[in-house]
Amino acid sequence: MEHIRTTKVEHVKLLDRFSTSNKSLTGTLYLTATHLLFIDANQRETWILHHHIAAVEKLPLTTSGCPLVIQCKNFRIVHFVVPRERDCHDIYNSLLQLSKTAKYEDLYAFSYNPKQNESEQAKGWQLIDLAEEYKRMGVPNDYWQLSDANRDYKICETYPRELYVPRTASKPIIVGSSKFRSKGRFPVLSYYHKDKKAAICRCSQPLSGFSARCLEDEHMLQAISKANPSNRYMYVMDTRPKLNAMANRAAGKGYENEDNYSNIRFQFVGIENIHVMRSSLQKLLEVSGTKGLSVNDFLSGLESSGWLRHIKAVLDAAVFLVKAVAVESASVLVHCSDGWDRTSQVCSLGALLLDSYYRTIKGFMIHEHVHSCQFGNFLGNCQKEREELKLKEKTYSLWPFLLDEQKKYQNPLYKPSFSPNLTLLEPNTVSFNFKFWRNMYHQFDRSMHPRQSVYDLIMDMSEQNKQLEEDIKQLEAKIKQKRGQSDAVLLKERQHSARPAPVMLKSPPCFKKDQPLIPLNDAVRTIEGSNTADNRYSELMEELSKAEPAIVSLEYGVARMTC
Amino acid sequence: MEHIRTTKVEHVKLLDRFSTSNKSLTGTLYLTATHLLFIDANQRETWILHHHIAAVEKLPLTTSGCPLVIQCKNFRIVHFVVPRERDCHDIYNSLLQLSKTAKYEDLYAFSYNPKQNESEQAKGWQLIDLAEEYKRMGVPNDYWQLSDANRDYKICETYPRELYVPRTASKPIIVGSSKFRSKGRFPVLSYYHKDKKLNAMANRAAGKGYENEDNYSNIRFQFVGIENIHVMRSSLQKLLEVSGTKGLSVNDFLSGLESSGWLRHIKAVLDAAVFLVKAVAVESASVLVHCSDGWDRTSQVCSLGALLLDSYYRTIKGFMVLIEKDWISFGHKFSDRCCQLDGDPKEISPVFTQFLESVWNLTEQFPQAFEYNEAFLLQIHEHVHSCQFGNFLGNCQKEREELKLKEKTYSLWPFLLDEQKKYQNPLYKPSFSPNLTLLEPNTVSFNFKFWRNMYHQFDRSMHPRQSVYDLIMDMSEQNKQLEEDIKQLEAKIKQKRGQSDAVLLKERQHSARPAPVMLKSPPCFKKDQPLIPLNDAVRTIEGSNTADNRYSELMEELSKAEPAIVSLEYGVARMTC
Repeated sequence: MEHIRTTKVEHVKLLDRFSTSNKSLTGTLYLTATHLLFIDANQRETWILHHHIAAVEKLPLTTSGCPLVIQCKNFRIVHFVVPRERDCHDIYNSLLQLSKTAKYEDLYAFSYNPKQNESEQAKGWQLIDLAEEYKRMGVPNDYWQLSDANRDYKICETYPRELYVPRTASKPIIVGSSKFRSKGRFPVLSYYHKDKKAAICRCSQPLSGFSARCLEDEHMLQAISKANPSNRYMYVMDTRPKLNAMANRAAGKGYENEDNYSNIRFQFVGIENIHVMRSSLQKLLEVSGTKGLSVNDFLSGLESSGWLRHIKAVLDAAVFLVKAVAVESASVLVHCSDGWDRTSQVCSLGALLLDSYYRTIKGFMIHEHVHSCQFGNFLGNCQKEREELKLKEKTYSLWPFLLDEQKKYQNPLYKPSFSPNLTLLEPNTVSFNFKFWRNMYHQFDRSMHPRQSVYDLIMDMSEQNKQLEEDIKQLEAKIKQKRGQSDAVLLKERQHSARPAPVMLKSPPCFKKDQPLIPLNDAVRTIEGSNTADNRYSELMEELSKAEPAIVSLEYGVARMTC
Repeated sequence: MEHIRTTKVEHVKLLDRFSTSNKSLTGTLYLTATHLLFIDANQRETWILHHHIAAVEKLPLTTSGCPLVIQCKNFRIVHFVVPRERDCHDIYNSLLQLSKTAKYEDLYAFSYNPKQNESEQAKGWQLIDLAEEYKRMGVPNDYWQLSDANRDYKICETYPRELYVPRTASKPIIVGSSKFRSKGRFPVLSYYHKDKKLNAMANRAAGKGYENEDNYSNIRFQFVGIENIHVMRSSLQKLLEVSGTKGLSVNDFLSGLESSGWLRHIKAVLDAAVFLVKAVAVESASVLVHCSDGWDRTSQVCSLGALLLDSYYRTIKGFMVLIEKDWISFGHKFSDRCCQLDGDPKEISPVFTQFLESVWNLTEQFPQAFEYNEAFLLQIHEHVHSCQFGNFLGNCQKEREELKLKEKTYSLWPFLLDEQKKYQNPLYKPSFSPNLTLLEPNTVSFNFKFWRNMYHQFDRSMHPRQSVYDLIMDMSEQNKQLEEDIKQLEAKIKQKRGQSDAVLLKERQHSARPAPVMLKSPPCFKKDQPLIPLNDAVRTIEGSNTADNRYSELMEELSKAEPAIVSLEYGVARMTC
C-alpha cells in the first residue's frame, strides 16, 4: 500500500478510443491495493487488475486535463483524462509501481481470498489429477511405464516429477539422453493414442553441433519407435524454421542427423521463435488500435503483422502431427529449441485434434496441465518452482472456479455424439479460414461489435427448447396425476420423440412471449458449404485416409520447410 | 443446335481445383442445347448453363488428355480433362458459340418452359406491382404526384413510364431539367420516407459534371467517392485471381485481398448508403443521388439506403420489390453489365454483385433483421446471369416491352416464393424490425469480410465441415417438433376429457406461443439430439449483449451522438478518396 498516494479522483473522463464523436463517460477513479476502479455516472464499474497492466503512459496535458493511457495484457486499452495534473501524476506513479512485481509473493494470487477453507482449497487443487489422465490415455501399459528418474528433479529441473517413458528405456539411457538434450529435457511421453498405439513425445533440441552423437539418445529414440507395434518408423518434428535450427548448430545445439538414428523421418515445420511472435503481436495491436483505418490499411496491416501466418503455421504443424499419428499410426517426437514454447503449442493442439476429451471443459483443463510447463495456475515457470513457492497451500486453483460457473462457458451447439472418443478433427487450413479474432483484440471496445449476437440468439432458442420440454413434462405429470394408470397408453404414444430432460435446469428462464416463429426449412441450402452428412465421422475418416495419402503429407511438409 | 458436333464424351476427368492431392472424378460429359452436363461414376450431376459461361480455355495437351477450363459468371470454375484432343476441340468450339448470344430471342428464357399456362404466367408477372409499392410508401400525396410526362418514353427512354415527381414540378420544368441531365434522366422519386414528423425522401437523377452549390438554393453538395464500373471490373478480376490461386499463404491472400481493393469498394458503397440514411432519418432531409448516368452507383446507393431505412425491404417479398424498383425499372443495364449478349466487354461490371455483397454484409451484422438468408442472395445472383427468367433481360423497361418478355418468358419471383422455405433465415425476428426500423451498420474496416460462399460456392472442399446454419435449423425443427408434441398432448387430453380440461389448458397458457403453421411434413425427430446445456448467465460471445439489439438504444445513439454536422464532415472526408 505504500505506493498509493491518491486513492480517489473525481470528474475523471473515460474516452471511447474508437468513437468518431469523441464520446466519453465521466466518473470517479479509485485506486485500491489490487485494482484500479472507475465508476461512471450511471454507476457502471470498470475494474482493472494491476497485474493486467502492461504499460501506463501519461500524454501531454490538454485543456480538458491530463490524459492517462493504460494498456492491459488482456488487450484492454483505457484512456482516462484526469482534471488535475498532480492527481494524474500520482496515479501514474502508483500504477507504475503496482503493476511491476519483484517477487512471486507479491502477486495477487497470494492475497486473493475466495473464502474457502483449507480442505476446499486442497480439493480444488486435486480437481485435476494427471496420474488419472495418463490412465485414461492407457498408460502405463506393455510398452510405456512411469519413470522415477526425475522424482527429485535431478535429471531435469523444468520437467515434472512423474514422467512416462518406453519400458525399454533404462535409466542409463534416460540419463545419457538427457545430457545430450538442451536443459536436460529428454524425450518423454506427451500423449498416447490408444487405438493406434502411437505416441506423441516431446523433448528439447539435441546438443549435436555439427557432428556430435549420443548413443543413449539414439537408443532412446529407438525405444520410442519400438514401443509402437503398428509402425516401425517414427517422425521427429523440429518445429523451428530450418535456418534457425542450422544456426543453433554453431552453438553446439541443432537437430537430429537422420543417418545416426535408425528409422526416423525428420521434418521441419517452420514456426517462428518467441521474438518474432512478440513483435508480430505488437504490430497486430498497432493495427487493431488505429482509429478510422481504411479497409486497405487494415488488410495490409494485418498482412504485414504476420500474425495470422503464425497462427496458420502452428495449426499446420499440429495437422502434420495428427496425420502422422492417425493416418500412418506413427509415433512422433516433437521439439523446438528448449521444448517449452512451440513444442507445447504443437503437442497440445495435436492432442486436441486427436482426442475429443480435450474438447470438453474438464479435458481442456487437464490438457493445460499435461502440455504446458506454465500451469499451476500459471505462476512460476515449472513444477519445481511451484512446489518451492508452496502454491497449493498459499494460492487457489483456477479450475474449480471455472467449473462452478461452467454454464457461462458452454457452447450451445456442442454435440457430444459428434465427437465420440478419439474422433479426429481435420481442420481446413486454407488461408482465408484464418480470421482476425475481433473478440480477443476488441473485447473491451464495445462500440466495435455488431449489435446482434448469433450466440445469444442460439442460447435463447435453446432455452425456449428447454422450456418446451418442461411444459411437456408438466403436462404429462398433470395427466398422470389426474388420471392415474389409465394414461399409460397416452404416454407410450409420445415416446417416439422423447428425449432426456434438462438435468441442469435449476431456475427455468422466463419464457419470452415475443420469440419469433422460426420458419421451417426442410430443404436447407448448405449455407456454410457443408451438408449435415459432412459431419459424419466415417466420411471424414474415409476422405482422410483415401484422398490424402502419406506421400502428400510429406510433400505438404516440405512446402513448410521453405517458409 | 448447329453449333454442337459432339454431344457425348466418355472418360472425362473433372479436377478439384484446390485439392492438394489432385483429386479428380471420372465421368461422362454431355452437351445439350442449353447446358453442359457432367455425370460422374457415382451418378452425381454437374449442370452448367451455357449462359453462365464467362470464358472457355483449352490448355496445352498433357499425357492424360486435353484440359478444358470453364469459368462461369457465378464464379464456378471447372477443370475437365478430355482424353482425345479432337473431342476437346469440338466441345471447346461448341461452347464458344453457345456461350455467346447475338440476339435476345436466343437466350434461355425464351425456350425455358416451366409448364405453366398463360394465366399462371401472367399472374407470375403481376406478383410485383410497383404502383402498389409507391402506395405503400405513401405516394401520391400532398407533395408528390404521378407524372405522365414519360408515358410514351418520350422524355427518357431508360426510365419507366410511371414516375413520381413533386406536385410543384410542372411539365416544362421536367422537360427542361431532363434536357440538362445526361440521357435525359431528370430527378425522380426513388423512395419516400413516411415519417410522422417530416417528409423526407431519397430521389435520383443523372448528371454530367456536378451541381454548383451557388446556383441551387438550399442544397448541400456531397461527393461520396464510389469508383466507376471499370475500376470495379478490374477489382473483381484481381479478387478472382487471388481466390482462385491454389495453396496461397496467409500473407499472399491478405495482400492480394488488399490490392484487389474489393472490400474497400464494398465499404465505400455501404458508407454512401449510411450517409444517405443519416441525412433522411436524422436530419429529415431529402437527398438527390446521382452518379454519371444514374443507373449503376445510384442504384446501389438508393437501394441500400432504402433497405437500411425500411424493414419491408428486409423481407423476401420486399427485397424482390426493391430490385424491381431500383434496379430493373430504373434501367440498370443488366444486359450490358452481365454480358447477356455478345457485346462490348468494357460495359461488363459487377455492380449488382456488389449490391448483393453489401446486403450480405448487413445480414452478417444483423442476423435477426432479414427474413431472407444468404442462399436467397446467391440464388438471385445465379439467375441474374442465367438468363432463364425474363426479369433481368435487356437494359431498360422500354426494351423489355419491345421484347414482349411478359408473354414470352417467365418471372423469377414466383419461383423463388414457391421455394421460399429454402431462403428463410431461421434467426429472423419480425418484431426486431417494425416498420421503418433504421439499421445503422458499423462500417469499421474489419467488419468487411471475404464472402467465401459467393466466390467458393462450388468449391466444396474449401468449406468448414460443420455449418452453424444447419445446426440452428436442426434446433428450430426440434423446437417445432416439441410444439407439435404439446399440441398433440393437449388435443388428446381435450378429446378424452372434454370440457373438464379447461382448467389444465389455462394453466399452460403462460407459455403458449403460435403453432408452427408451415409444418406440413414434420421432420423425423433425431434421437441423438444433444442435450443443450442451460446457460442463464450467457457470456457475450459476439461481444454484444441482448440489450444492444433494442431499437430505442440504436436510435438514441444515432440521434444524440452524431448530429447532422458530423454527417457532412464525414462526407467531406470521403471527398479525398
